[in-house]
Amino acid sequence: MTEASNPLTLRERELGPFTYLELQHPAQSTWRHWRLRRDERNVAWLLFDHADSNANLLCVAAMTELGDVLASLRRDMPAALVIRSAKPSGFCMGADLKDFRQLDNEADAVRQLVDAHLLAQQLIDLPCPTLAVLHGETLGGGLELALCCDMRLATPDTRTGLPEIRVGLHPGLGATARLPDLIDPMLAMRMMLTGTALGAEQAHKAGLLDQVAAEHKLRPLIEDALNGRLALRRRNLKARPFRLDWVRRLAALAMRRQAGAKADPRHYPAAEALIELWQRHGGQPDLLLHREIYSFARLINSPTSRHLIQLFFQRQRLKELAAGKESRRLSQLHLIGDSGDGIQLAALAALAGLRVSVGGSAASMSACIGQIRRLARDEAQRQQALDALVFDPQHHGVALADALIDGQQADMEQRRAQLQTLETSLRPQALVLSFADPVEPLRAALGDAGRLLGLRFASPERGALVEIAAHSTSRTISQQHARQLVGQLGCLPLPVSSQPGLLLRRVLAPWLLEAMLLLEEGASADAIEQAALAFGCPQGPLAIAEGWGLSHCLALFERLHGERDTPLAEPPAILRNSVEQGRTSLLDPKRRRWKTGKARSAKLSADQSDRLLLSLLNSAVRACRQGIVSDADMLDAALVLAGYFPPFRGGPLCHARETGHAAIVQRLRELSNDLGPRFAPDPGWQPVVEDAAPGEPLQAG
Amino acid sequence: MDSQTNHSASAPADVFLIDGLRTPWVNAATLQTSGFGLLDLALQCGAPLLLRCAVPAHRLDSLILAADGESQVHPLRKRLRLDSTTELYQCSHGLSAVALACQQIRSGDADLVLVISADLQATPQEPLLTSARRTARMFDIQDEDASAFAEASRLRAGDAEQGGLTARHRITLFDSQGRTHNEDQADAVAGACALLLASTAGLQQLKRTPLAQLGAGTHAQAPPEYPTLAPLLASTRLLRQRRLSLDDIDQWELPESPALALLSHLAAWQDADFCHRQLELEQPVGRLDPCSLNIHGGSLALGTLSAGDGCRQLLQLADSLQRHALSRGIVCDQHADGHARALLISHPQETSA
Repeated sequence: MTEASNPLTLRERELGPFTYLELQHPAQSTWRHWRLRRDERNVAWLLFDHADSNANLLCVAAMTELGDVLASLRRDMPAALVIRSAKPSGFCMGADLKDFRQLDNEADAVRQLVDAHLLAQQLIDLPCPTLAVLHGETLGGGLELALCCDMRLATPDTRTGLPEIRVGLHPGLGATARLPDLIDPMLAMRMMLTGTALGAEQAHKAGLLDQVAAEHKLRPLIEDALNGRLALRRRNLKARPFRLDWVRRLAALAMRRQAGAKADPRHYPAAEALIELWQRHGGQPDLLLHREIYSFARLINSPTSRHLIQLFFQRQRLKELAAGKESRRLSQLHLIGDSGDGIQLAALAALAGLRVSVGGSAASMSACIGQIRRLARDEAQRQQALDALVFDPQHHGVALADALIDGQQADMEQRRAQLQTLETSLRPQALVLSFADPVEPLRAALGDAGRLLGLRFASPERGALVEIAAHSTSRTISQQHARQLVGQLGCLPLPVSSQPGLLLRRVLAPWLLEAMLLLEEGASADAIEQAALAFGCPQGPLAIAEGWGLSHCLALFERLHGERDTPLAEPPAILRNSVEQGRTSLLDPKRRRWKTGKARSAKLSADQSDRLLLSLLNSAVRACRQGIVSDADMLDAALVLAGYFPPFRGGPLCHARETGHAAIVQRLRELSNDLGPRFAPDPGWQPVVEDAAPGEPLQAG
Repeated sequence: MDSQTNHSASAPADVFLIDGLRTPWVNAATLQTSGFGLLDLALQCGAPLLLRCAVPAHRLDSLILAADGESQVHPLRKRLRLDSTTELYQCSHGLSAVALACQQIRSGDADLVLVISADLQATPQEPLLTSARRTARMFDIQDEDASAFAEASRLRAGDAEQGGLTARHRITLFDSQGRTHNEDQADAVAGACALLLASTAGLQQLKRTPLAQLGAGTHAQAPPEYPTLAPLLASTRLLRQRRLSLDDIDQWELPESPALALLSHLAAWQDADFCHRQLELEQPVGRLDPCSLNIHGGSLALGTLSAGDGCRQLLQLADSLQRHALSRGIVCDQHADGHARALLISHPQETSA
């Protein structure tokens, strides 16, 4: 990828009769997304050049046009056909998910898929030799198209993969049949089940690519290929045993076990559908192609896939928020204080190539070095990141920094004093990003409070969601800058308004509180956690509370309890006691033993599960109404991407919408009659007229 | 320029030492466990120095690495993330690198020069010891005098360390495991020292007050049998060239290891016959006040590094001149191959006022 974006190597690309310069301008041809031209020996070169995007997407329009192209070729058959991409980024990123969003019934989906399959078959049936020349990202539909060609050449930066499983689908343009036919079926299934891409070398070894060569060495290889002199290895010995039903059945058993361990098949049906497809029809590729259509059409209409595709676009939207001007890239940070979040940020920044001066203690510098060692991809990146890190206890780095990161843990007075002294040497456009919660008290310390923003990592992993909290006088340009910084770190920015708990903890607090109340009432902790896990949450509420730290939870609950607009219920005594006793877990071993003596059922009643779920939904609606986050979509994306809400359900508000607001409001009213005002439906609920039977448990599935 | 500095009128431009940093001097055992490479050490004092002086990467005109062995200045530039327009040089001794930097600045080719010296092994002392014993016999220096001097030097170094004077320009080293090293170790074999040199224009760009102004420098080569005479020759030449007497110099940083060589050097300056015959002086140079010599100790306490010592001494002297508001000092280094370089430095206010 980096190689491809270098302007010099761009000029080196082998484009047959096309020149590099003419590709800079829109195509002057009959088709918007394809460029076709024949060279002096009557070899047709077909360049895929999606008109409205920087990367090729196999959208419906491009497919229709491809049909026309093939028809025109059939009228005047060339000596051979070479297919390439005109985009520097890669061959093709796969199907356009926007098209999938519009499919709302199986019949339409089947119709479209049949058309696409006929097209693929036309490409295969073309009497002249066909050659795909690949580079960069060759994913999903793009790879499936390349599989329809007789031969495949590729440059070393090629990555081939079938990532459909990530949006709850399996390949839909014949790869389920053609890939296991071409390469080791176990590898093919692994590619489709995990969605991981193969590098060029791996793919060449597997037999997926016939030859890998650098751009400037492609021409003689293309010559050879078209003249039939290219050595092809098409004897797929490893596929032989899998023609037997019982071998496939055995192999499928192991695959099911592995796939089931990764994702619950009840929630994510694609893996099971794919395995089933292969197990039943793997011996007859033609039938498999046919069945693939119906299986794909069924999956694309499943809520799981719909939600995962929606999540893909939401993630895209967050990424776009992080996009910024190249000239505005931040290049230097200064960290003060020793907090874990600050160290995390410093390490990520150093790994992302920013210079970081660490103004905390020597221990925090050591911690930062440790963090980099853990996170670095390889030795070279580790070295580079460590070189970018400078220990700077006298805060000389402030003068050069684009952003001052406040990771102090001292009390507010000291924090303010420190910021006040450092701000004098800070550049006028530099940001001040603080991990303080809330950031408002720091405003007074700064001469220019418009540059102050709050930050919080949703999780300690790389690529995590980062909440960026703007207070009432934060400048828009500062917010943009901060989002860009988060993007540079490889994280997703989530702009929220600065309120206690920001967005995530604010939304989750009532859920955690309800879980603690249930615990207090005598429900078993296991049952509470199990209910959440069965719903699909990656973590139960009690585990989350312990992850945040109980004293933090208590402080947050108390602050939310003090709010004027629909305050949170009183923090439960069980939490208070645990914090007073300095415990880190709500599960007192002694008390646990006493509880098992009473032999409680391990499952929550429907009522209790409803209490848990509804407290979460109610609080999500409340946060959305209060405008903590820009819109409902963003809130859904945040809770899913932060790993709190199950992705296949699309987020709390999406789940509420699909369950039916009326039913939920009805249920909330019942609960608030029984249990008190904490369940009073938030004014933000909009009772949509939908038919859901009231009173029925809402946690189906 | 006022009349006081007319002796440096031949120099077309002033050269300033803006600031300097060095790593702790590290012994062989630590070097082994921490896994530092030459460039790791160079980088860990170079990067904080650039940060401390707020030098943006594209402002630096040239980078000079003083280190033994093959050329490593290219990877160093990459690791320091300097601009590709930065000129790169490498030489083997600290003060030679400083002299080269001065030359570039005086000729107007550069405004900001970063000099980094780095070592991974100690200088072999054997040839110097032989020479020191031979010269000591000439000037009747006893071994007891040498050990007394060495003891006193170590005490001075200890006092400076205790008083926090050494730490002023010393950074904390972090190895790749995150362990810290922040004290000089005895019998050191490795260390690095970074100095930022600037012209008047460079100084104005950075808006900083310099630590010292660098004056003239001289180079001398001793006869091959007596390599330890080189500092004597170089510093005498510097005094004579600038028409200075011992009284004009407030502080000295002379190579003190082996101690016999330094004591012979001092004795030679008082020896009328030697001064007349060998140094072609009419009068003996005189007696150097021991209180102005190596006031914070030196390589006897720390160990001798071939590239780093010169830079460390220069930094130490500049710092001490500034702290005591003294006007002039001379620093001199010494190499096992019989070369030496002496450099005159002065307090910047004194001359540019």
